Amino acid sequence: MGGFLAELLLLVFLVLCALYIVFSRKIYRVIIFFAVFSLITSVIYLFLGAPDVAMAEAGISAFTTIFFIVCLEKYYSRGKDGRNEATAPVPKVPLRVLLPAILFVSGLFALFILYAPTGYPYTGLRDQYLRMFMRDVGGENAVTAIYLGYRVYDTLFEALLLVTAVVAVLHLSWYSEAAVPDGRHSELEDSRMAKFTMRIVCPMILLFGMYLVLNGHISAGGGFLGGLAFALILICRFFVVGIFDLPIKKALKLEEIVFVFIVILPIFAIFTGVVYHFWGNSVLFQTIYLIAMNALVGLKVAFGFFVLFYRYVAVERLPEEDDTEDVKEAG
Amino acid sequence: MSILAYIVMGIGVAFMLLGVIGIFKPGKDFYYRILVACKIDTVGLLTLGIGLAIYHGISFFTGKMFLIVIMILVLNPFVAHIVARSASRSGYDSIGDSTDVDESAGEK
Amino acid sequence: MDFHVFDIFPILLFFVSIFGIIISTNVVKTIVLIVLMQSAVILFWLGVGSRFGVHPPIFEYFAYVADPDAIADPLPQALMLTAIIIGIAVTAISITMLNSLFRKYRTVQWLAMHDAALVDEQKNIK
Repeated sequence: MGGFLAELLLLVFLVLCALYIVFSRKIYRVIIFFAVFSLITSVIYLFLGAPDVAMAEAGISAFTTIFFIVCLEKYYSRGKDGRNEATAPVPKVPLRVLLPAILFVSGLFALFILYAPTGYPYTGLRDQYLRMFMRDVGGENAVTAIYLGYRVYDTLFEALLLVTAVVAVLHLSWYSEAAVPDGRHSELEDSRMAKFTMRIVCPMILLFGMYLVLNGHISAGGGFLGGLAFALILICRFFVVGIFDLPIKKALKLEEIVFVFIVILPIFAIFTGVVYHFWGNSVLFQTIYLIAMNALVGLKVAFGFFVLFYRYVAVERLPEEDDTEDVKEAG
Repeated sequence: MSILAYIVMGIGVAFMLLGVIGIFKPGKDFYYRILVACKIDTVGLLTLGIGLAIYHGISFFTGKMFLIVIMILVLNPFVAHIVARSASRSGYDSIGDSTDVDESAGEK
Repeated sequence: MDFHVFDIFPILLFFVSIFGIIISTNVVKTIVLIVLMQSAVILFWLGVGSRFGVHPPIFEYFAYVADPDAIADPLPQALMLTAIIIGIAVTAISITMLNSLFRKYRTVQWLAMHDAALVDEQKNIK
C-alpha cells in the first residue's frame, strides 16, 4: 500500500509539473520546472528497478537544462528593435484555439484508454535474457549484456547518431570571435574559491567516471554515464578557467576514430565469431570485451558531449542586430 | 551502533525540516533564502550520509559514502556562493523585496 | 476495466505534451514539450507490466528474490538507455536550428516567425 501511494504521488507531481509547463507564460520557469520534471522521472526510474536509466536521465537533464538556459541567455535584447525575447511573456492563447485543442486531445486520450491492450506483453525474452546472459555475453549486469551483446547494433547506430548530431551542430552553428571580450574568459576566473573547489572536485569526478566505466559490466553504470562524467570535468574546467583555445577539430577527429574502433571491436568479438572460434566462451575474453567496449563508448560520449557543449555553450554567440560581419565559418 | 546511526540521521532530518520551514518563511529576502537552502544541502545531507555510513559499519559502502560526504562538503557551499555572487553581480538588491530575481534583475 | 497506474499516467503525460505543443506559441517551449513527450514514452516502456520496488536486473540482486517476477525486465531498459542519448542529440540539433532561425528572423515566437517568412517570400517574388 505504501509503495502504491508513493508511486501515485510521484506520478501526480509529474503530471502537475507538465501542466505547469504547458500553461506557464514565463520561459525561465518552464526551464526550471523541466529540470524538476526530469529529476522526478529519474526517481521513478530508480524505483522501477532501472538504475542505469535513472542515472542517465539525471545526468542528461543537467546537460539539457544548461543548454536551454544558455539558449535563453543568447536571446537577451537581441530581438527585433532590441526586444528582449528571453523574458518576453508568451502571449495568451485565445479560447477558439484552446477549446478545440482540449477536445481533440481528450478525445484521443479516451480512445487510447478504451482500446489500448492491457496486461503484461509476455514474450519469453525476459526470462531468456535473465537466464542466459551470463553465459552468452558475460558480466553481471543484464542491461550491459543486452546493449553490448545481444543488441549491439543498437549501440552502433546510437553512436553513429551522436557523431551525426555533433557534425550537424558544428555545421549549423556560428563561431564568433566576439566570444572572448577583453581577454577575460570566465566570470569566475579570478575567484580563488572556485579554483580550490575544482582542484578537489575534478579528480573525484574523474575517479567516479573511471569507476562507472570499469564496473559497468558488474553493476549499474557503463559507458554512457562514465562518458558523461568525463565530459562534466571538461565543462567544470570551462566554467571556472574558461579555456577557449581547445582544438575542437581534434576532439571531433578523435571521436570519429573512437567510433571506428567501436565498430571494429564487435566485428571480431561477436559478429564473425573469431574470438569464439579460438577461445570459446572464456570468461576472461568476455570481460575484456565488455570493459573495452564500455571504455570506448565512454570516450566517444565524452568527446561528443564536450564538442556539443563547447561549440554550443561556449563559443557560439549570436551577434547584435547590426554587426554580422565578424562571423567565421569554421572553428 | 544502529541507535547512534538513527540519532545522527534524525539530526539530519531535523536540520532539513528547519531549513524547509526557513525557506518558506514569509517576508524574507533572496539572500536569506540562499543561506537557509545551503544549510539544508550541506548540514542535512552531510549528517544523513554520516548516519548511513555508521549504520552500515565498515564496508565498501562506507568508503563510497565517505567520498560522497566529501563532495557534498566541498561542493554545496561553493554552489550557494556562486548563486549569491551572480545575484549580487546582476545588481539584485534584496532589501525588502521577496519576489523572484530571474526575470527582473538580469541586465545584459 | 483493470488499469495499472503506469498504464494511464504516461499516456496522460504524452497527451498533455501534445496539447501543449498544439497551443504553444514559443519555440523554446515547443522543444521542451517534445523532450517531455519523449520522457512519457520512456516512462511507458519502463513501467509496462512493472511495479514499484522490483529489483534491478543485476546478478548481485538475484540471490535476494525467490520469484523471477521480482526482477525488472532488462530489454526495455537497454532500449531506453539508447533512447535517452538519442534524445539529447535531437534536443541539441533542435536548439541549434532554433538559433539559426533566430539569427534570420530575430524572434522566437512561431507567429512572428511565420509573418517574417511571408514577408521574405513576397520580397523574393517581386
